[in-house]
Amino acid sequence: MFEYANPKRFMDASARLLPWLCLAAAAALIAGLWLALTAPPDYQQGVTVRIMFLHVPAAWTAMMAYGLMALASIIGLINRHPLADVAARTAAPLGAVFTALGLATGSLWGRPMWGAWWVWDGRLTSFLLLLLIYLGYIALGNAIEDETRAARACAILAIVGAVNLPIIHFSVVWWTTLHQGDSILRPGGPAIAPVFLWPLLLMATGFTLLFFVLWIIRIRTEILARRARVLMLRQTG
Amino acid sequence: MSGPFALYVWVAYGISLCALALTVVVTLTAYHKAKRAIKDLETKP
Repeated sequence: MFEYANPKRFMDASARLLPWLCLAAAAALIAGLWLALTAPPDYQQGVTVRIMFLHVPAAWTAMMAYGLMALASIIGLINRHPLADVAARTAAPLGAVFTALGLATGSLWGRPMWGAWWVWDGRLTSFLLLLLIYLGYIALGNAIEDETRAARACAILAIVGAVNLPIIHFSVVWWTTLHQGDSILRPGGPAIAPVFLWPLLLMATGFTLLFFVLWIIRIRTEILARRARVLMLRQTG
Repeated sequence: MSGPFALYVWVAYGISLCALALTVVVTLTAYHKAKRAIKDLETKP
């Protein structure tokens, strides 16, 4: 993995990988959307079950993005790999988008099913905290001018904030919550019917691949921007 | 799609697809801008 931490090698490898990743993401999203919008109504939730095909993948992707951001931050802080800080910083806005989507779609599901747009239960509150950590991370990175100091401060915040990930995951186990418990990654296998499981898995795959496509493009953008800054300095100085 | 709660579903899909499309557009615009900046700097005498 560290072999590709070299920006030049990363640019070459990602240029070859991106078209395939784009195709896979588009295929998974189109198939997932088709299955999601044609899934039969649930006997309890009715058509609102279709919101789950957006809400759950968005929430998964948001948490995965944070996990990757924290991992890149650890590598950046310990090994000082040139791409690790860039990877962490570029993942944050994408993670924030998926977190906001998870919250918005959850709220749109909660209103007809629970009778409330929002409840302060463990899962919802810890997930809102994830959005606030993402926003705080982005704000901190923009507030510090020196790139090295900004990267270090952001890395520490990302690592400390990672404590929230197990809290989100186990919130439905530790506390009595209105939010339902695990229904896919649970002992004994998934608790939902295949007709709902397939669109969910396809959408989750599509969201994950889309995140990786956008993340790679953002990393490439940052590498190009840094190269442009160096070129500009050389030409003016 | 019909039923008493169909509007919530349409709004959820509308918001999600618009947000993701906007994210894609913003990401690609920034990427092409950076690529053009590099090209301009490299061709500058």
